[in-house]
Amino acid sequence: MIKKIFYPILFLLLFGALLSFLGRNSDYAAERKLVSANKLFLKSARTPETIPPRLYEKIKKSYEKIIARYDGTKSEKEARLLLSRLYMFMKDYAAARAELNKIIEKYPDNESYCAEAVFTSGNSYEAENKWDKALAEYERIMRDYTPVARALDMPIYIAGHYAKNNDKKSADAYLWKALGYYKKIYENNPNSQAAYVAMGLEVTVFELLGEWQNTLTSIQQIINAYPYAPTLINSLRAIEMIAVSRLKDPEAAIKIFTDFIEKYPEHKIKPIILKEIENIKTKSQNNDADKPKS
Amino acid sequence: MSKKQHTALSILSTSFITMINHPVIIFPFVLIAFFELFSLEIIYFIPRWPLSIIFAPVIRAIWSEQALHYPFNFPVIYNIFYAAQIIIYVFLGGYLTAVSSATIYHINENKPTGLRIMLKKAGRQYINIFCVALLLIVIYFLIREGYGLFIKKFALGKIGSSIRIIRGIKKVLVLTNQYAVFLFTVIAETMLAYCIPILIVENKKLFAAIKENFIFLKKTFFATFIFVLAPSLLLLPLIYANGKALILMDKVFPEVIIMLIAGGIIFSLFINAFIITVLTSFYLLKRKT
Repeated sequence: MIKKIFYPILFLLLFGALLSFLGRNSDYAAERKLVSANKLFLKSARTPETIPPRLYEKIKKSYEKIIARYDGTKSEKEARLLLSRLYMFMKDYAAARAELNKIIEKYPDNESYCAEAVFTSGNSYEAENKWDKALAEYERIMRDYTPVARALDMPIYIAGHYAKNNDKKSADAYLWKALGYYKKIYENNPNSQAAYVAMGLEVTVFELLGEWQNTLTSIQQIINAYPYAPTLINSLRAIEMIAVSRLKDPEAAIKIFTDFIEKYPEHKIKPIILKEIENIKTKSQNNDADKPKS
Repeated sequence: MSKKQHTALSILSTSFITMINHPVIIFPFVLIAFFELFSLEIIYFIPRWPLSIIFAPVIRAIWSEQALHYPFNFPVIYNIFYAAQIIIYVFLGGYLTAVSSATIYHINENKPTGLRIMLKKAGRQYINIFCVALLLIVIYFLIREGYGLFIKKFALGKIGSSIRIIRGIKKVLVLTNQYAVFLFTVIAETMLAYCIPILIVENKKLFAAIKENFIFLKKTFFATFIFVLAPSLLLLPLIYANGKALILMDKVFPEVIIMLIAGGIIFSLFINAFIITVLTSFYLLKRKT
C-alpha cells in the first residue's frame, strides 16, 4: 500500500521538478523574482534611514541577478528601472542616471521604456533640486517620445510642479503651451489612441485654466470624433455640468446634444440624450419661474 | 445519550476503525487526489514554457494576458482548478468512490478485495455511477448559482434596506454565504448518499437505485445527514481560509493559494473516504436488519 502511494507522490514531485527546470528561464520565472525583490524594497522603503547596508546590497543584488539572467525580457527592463529607483532612494543620483542611460542605449526602439527612463532621470534631478535639468529631461520626452503615454502626461506634470511651488504664472504659461502640443498630436495622428488621449488632456488643461467655453468645445470635439467611446456618458454629463453650472447657459448643452443626435440618429444612447434634454429644459423653466420678476 | 445517538456514534467509530484497519478503502481516493494534484500542477505551470505554448492562447482568450503573469495568475488558478475538479469528479471521482464502496462491501462479506476485482465490479456500473456524479454536480451548480442569485437580488439589493433588522440579516447572509453553500451541498449529498452503495451492492439500474435511495433515506435521513455533515465540518477551516485567500496572497505570498488547494485535496481524500465507509457500512447494516 505504501508503495502505491509513494510512486504517485514521486511522479508528482519529479514532474513538478521537470516543469520547473524547463521553465527556469521563462518570463514568468523572471516576474516571480522581480515581485520578490520589489516586496523587499517596498518593505525597507518605509524606513529609508534605517536600511542596513546588508539589506540594501541584497535588494541590489536581486535586481542585478534578474538583469543578468533574464536579458531581453520585460522583467529585465523593469528591474533596471527599479534598480535606478533604489539608487535614487539611497540618494545615489549619479548611479541612478547611469543605470537609466543603459536602458536608453540598450533599447532605443522601445519608446515606452525610454520615456520612463528619461522621466525617472528627471525625477532624480528634481530630488537634487535641479529643476532646470529636470525640465530639460521632461521636455526631451515630449520632443523625442511622443505619442507614448508618459509624453502626453508631461505638460500637466510640469504645470503641476509650478503650481505646487505657487508659481501660477509659469503653470498657466505651460498649460497654454500644452494646448499646442496636444493639438499637434491629434491633428497628426487622427483616429488613434494617442489622439483620443490628447483630446481628453486638452479638456483637462482648459478646465485647469478655467476656460469653460473652450472646455465645452473640446468635449464636443471628442464626442463627435469618438461617438462610441466608453467615456461617452461621462462626457455628456460633463457637458451638462459645465453648461449649466459654470457657463449658466443650459441652451449650450441642449445644442450640443441635439447636434450629436442629428449626426448619429441611430446611436443607442439617443433615448437617454432626449430624456436629458427634457430634464435640462424642465430645470431651466423652473429656475426661470423662481427668479424674481423685475 | 439516546439509542439513536449511540448507534450513530458507534457507526462512525466502527467505520473509522474499519478504514484504519483496511487502508485499501482509502486507495481509490488517493487516486482521485493524485489526478487532482496532477491537474493542479499542470495549471500552476501553464504560464511557463513549455505548457504556455498550448495553454497560453486559451487563457488569453478566456481571461486576459494578465492572467499569464505573476502573481495575477493565482486567482485564475482557482477557477481553472475548480473546472478541472468537476471534470475529474464526473468522469473518475464517482467511479473511484464506487470502487471504495465495493471494497467495503467485499470486506463485509469476507470476499477478496484486490484492486482489479473492485475496478471491474464498479466498472460494470460506470454509466450509472457517471449519471449519479453528474446529477450531484448539476444539483451543486443549482445550489451555488441559485443561492448566489438570491444573495445578489436580496442581500445585495435594495429590498428592505431601510429596515434595520433586514439590513442586519442581509449582512449576515453575505458574510455566511460560503457556509450556507456548504450546508446546502451537504444536504444535496445526503439526498443522494446511498445511490452509489446501492448501485454496487444491489447491482440495480440507475432509476431503481435512486428510488431505493429515497426509500432508505425516508427512514434514516437524520442519521445520514449526520454521517455526511460530521466529517465534512472538518473542511470548514479550509473554507474559511479559501474565503480569505486573496488577502493571504497579498499578506504572505501568492503561492499560499496552491498550498490551500493542495491541503484541501489531501484533507478531502480522508474525509470522503470516511464518509463513503460510513454510508456503505450503515447501508449494509440496515440491509441485514
